[in-house]
Formats: sequence, C-alpha cells, structure tokens
Amino acid sequence: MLLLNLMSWRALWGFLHKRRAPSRPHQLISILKPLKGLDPSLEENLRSYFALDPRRVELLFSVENQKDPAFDLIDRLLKEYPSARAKLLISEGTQLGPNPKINNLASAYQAASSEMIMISDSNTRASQSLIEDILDQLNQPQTGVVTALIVGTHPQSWGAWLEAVHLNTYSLKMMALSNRYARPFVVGKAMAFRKKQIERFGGLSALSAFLAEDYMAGEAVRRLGLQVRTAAVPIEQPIGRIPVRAFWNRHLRWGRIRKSHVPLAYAFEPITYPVFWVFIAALWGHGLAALGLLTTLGMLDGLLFWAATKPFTLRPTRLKDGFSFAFAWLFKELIAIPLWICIGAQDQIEWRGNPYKILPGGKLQC
Amino acid sequence: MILTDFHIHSNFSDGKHSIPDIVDFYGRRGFGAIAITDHLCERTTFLGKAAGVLERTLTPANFDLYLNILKSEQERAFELYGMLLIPGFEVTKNSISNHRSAHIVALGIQEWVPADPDVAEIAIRIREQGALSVAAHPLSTQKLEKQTIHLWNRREELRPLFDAWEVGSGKHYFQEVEDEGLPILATTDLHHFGQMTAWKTLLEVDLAAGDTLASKIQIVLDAVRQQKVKPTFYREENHGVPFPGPWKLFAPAQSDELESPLGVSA
Repeated sequence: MLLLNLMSWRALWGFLHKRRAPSRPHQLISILKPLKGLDPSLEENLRSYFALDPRRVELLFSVENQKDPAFDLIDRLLKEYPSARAKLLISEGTQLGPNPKINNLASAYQAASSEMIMISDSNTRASQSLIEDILDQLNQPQTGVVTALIVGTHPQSWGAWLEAVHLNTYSLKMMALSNRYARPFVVGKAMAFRKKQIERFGGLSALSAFLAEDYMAGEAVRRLGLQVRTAAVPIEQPIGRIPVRAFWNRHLRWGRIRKSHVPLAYAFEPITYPVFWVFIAALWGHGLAALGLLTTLGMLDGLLFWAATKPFTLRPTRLKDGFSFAFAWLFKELIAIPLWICIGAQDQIEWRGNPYKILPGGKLQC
Repeated sequence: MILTDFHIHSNFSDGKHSIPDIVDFYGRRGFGAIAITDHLCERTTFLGKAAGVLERTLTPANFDLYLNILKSEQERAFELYGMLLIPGFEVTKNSISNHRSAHIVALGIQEWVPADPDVAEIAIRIREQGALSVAAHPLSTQKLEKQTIHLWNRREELRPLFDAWEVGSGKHYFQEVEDEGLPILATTDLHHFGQMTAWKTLLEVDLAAGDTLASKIQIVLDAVRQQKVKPTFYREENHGVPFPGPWKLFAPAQSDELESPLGVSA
C-alpha cells in the first residue's frame, strides 16, 4: 500500500511537472459545454470559461430546450460578455443513442468551427493555462485524446467533504497510476480531441450507446493505436453542497460503470483501499501496526489533499479543515468495502432521474 | 493476380497491433487484399467468458466500434495503397478438448454472429449475410497450442457449408486438406508482425472490373468461392520489423526450398 502511494506520487509529479512545448498562438479550440438544470455554483463555473482568451477559445453551450433553467443563465452571460466567442445551441429532438449527454452535445459538435474540440462538464472551472496545455498536448504526434486530472474544491457539507476527499486522494492517485503505468483512462470533466481522430471510429454517434462516453473515447483511440495524454494542469471541480446520500449514489453509479467496462479491475479494487490493509493487519492480531498504518496512510492522503487543493484555494488552510478531512477520510474508508459490495450486487443505475441497466461492456439499456 | 492475407488479428482481440498499423504494414508491402479477423468467442462457456474478461475477444459492446474502424480504414487502405480491407472475425469455440474446439473465419461480414450455437448453424449464419465461412487451422499445427480439429472430424457433413478450408496456416501446411479435395485458402493467422513469414494466397482477380469498393471486395470473395487461389509462401526478410525495411516476396517458382505443394507457380 505504501509502495502504491509512492508510485502514485511519482506519477502525479511526472504529470504536473511535464515540460511544456511552445504553444502555437493562432490555434483555436471549441469548448463544448452540455448543460442541464442549474448545478450548484454553475454561474461561477461558467464565468471561468467566459474569462478565457476569446482568440483561443470558442464556447458552445448546449441545452435540450428553452425551458431548461440554464438557458436564461447562458443568455444573460452572453450579453454580459459580448467579446466572448460563444453560442448557445438547442439540442431538442437530437437522438444519437441512449446517452442524453451525447444527444445534448450533438448540435454543438456540428457547430464547432475548430478542428480541436474539448468537451467539459458543467461542474468544472477552467484556467487559460489548462487550455494552453491541452492545445500543446493535442499538437503532439499520435495524440488521440487529452484528459486532465480532477481536483475537487470548496466542499461545504459532509457529503461534499467525502467527495473532495475521494477526488483529491484515491481518485487522483488511481488516475495518475493508471495513466502513467497502466491503461490510461479519460474523464468527461475535460476530454479534448481532434475531430478527424474521433471520426475514425464513428464520432459522437459511436459513443452514444454508452453512459461512460469518456471511458469509451479512451478505449477507441487506444484501439486505433493512438495515445491518451494527461494535461499538466488539473481541472477544478467546485463541489459546494451535496448530501451524503448523493455521494453514495454517485459512486454506486460510477462503480457499476467501472464494473461493466473492466470487471477484472473492479474485482481487485479492494486491495487498493487503505482500509483493506488495515483490516488485514488487525486480523493478524497486529493492532498497533494496523493503527500505525491507518495513521500513516491517512497522513499521506492528507498531504496529497493539501498539495492538490492549494493552487485553487485562496484562503489558508484552517484547523477545522484538517478535522473535516480526517473525519471524511475515516468515514470514506469505513464505507469503501460496503460500497464495493453494493456495486457488485446490481447492474441498475439512476442518472438524472432516468433508470438504466448497464450491460457488460458498458452499453446502456433504457 | 493479387497477394492476400485473410486471417489477421488486431488489438481488438489477442493481436498486438492496431488496425491502422496493420493496414500500413501490409499496404507498404504491396498486398492487394487483407482481412482483419479478430476472435469472437462464446458468451456462455467458461473459456469464452474468460476471454471476455481478459479483453481477448470481440463483444457486442465493442463490435460497432470494430466495424466503424474497419470501415474508415477500408477507405484509407484503398486510397493510400490501393489495398482492399475486408471486415471479418474468427468465431472461436474453445474447449479443453481439441476435438470440441473449432475456429471459423468469416470474411466480408456485416453483422454479429453468436459463437455459442453448433458450427453448422454458425456457418449458415455467416453465409446468410453474404460472407465466406472458412475452416481455420482444421488440423494439428504440431505446436504447443490449442488444437482445433472439431471441423475436420465433421468434414464430410460440413463440406457444403464451408467456402474454404485453411491449407496453410502460419508456417504450417496441411497436406491432408489438399488430399481431401476440399476448397482451400492459405493464411498467416498473424498476431504480431514477427509472424509475417508464413503462408499467404495469391488470388487471380481483375479488380478493375469493380467500380466501387464494395464491388471490388465482392470480386475478391467470389474468387475465393471459385477457388482462383494459389497458396504461396511469403518470406519477410527482416522478420516483420515495422517499416521501413527490405522485403521480398518469394513466389514458389522462385524459391528452391519452398515450392508450392500444389505445383503451381506465381
């Protein structure tokens, strides 16, 4: 477990201290933002995109119809930022497949004026340095998809703290490890590619049968012999307020998607949980060793959490935050194995109010 | 006359290389037609399920992606090299018993065919979509690997359902197939470029007769049906090291050590 931590730190260091290639000043990237409803902090998140350099960035927002509450917000922001190269598109009636996010994106994809496309979820904030780095990575030869590490910020409830702890410790380590040493995977928070590359496997339509369109995009480019690259700048996901129940449901959904795509990795997942090794140590009667291991792993994760969130947090870390982290970390470890069991028990998921069944290989059945 | 290889695996099953890399590799060597034939394993048996978990088989989930990539590469292969890329798969029925194991190469496929039914039903389903059914390595290759001799055991019954039987597979030549008077085809069963030195087939076709990609592929498939085939041993001088590299095609008549067992020359 300690070795796993060391390797993931090494991988993270490698990604975040990657040497940057000189950027090409005239390149434009079209950022596609699928929206549905008003997520917490949506306005602040979207403002971070409007603040990007309009010479480098085209923003294409898509909503299903004018009744969507996000429509009025975007309409207002478009008037507020007249110099932004931005459009709002309606996707009503587009049906490429069962994945509603892909259906929502279709019209924006068609309208994109750049060959370089970035799909980014609504609950993220981007910086100009992230965009520049993504453009640099897209210019590297053999690039299929560029993705970014996710850092969760601004937790304002116990559920949000659980999410932040998960994103900034376990998720960050696993993604860094996987993308550096094993099979890289792509996250939909930031997924960039060239149009001509994804058209080689059927474009957005080919991804629309899957809920994890991001994972499948990575898979498809790997099959094409191209590479998944990870940006040197993480993308920020402000979490805000979410109930503990929402944390549980979200990870139940993600876990079942993971299980359907990579069942072998899911089967061995518990050996990557700190609690598993603490439990083994305790079971062998080494109570003190178990306690020592628990403390060491918790402190290592605490350090990682602090290092990951530091660039995004304006105020200094308070003592209260330390307690919140420790409590959330312990609670997350306690529920890790029960969550893993619940993931394995069923293949049903619920997403934005719609029930789905995930078939082996990740295809969606409505 | 074109040089062909109709049994190639990509990274969609247990092959090492991507489909675009395979296209470039064969295209630069002047092949006229190739077929990508990834494994399509049973869904109900233990070995089939294991292949699924280990990602060594096509699945209903990635099959559309496979066809999409084949389609886009088909156009690229023809534009860049004038080479035809035929979509295929290898229906794979593996068992601990060699006598129950059978592999069927399908050439020119358009739809998924389940691998679980009996081999006769599988061959019928393949041919129903206008594709060719080929009995893959139907006899022992004498190598330390899974042998697939179920089709051979039932050759009399299955003879009308198969368009060809592999007479050459890799470096191995099955004299018995030739002696039996079955329709033949020789292929590499390539999993990585190091296996390039192997049996291939020269096909007597006039591709200029077809005006579309689909009609040219049909001409090739018909040539196999009509047995306008000449098994030929191909030697890769640099053992399949990717381009650039010297290569030579040794037609049987030109090679002292590898004369065509059928007595035909290129």
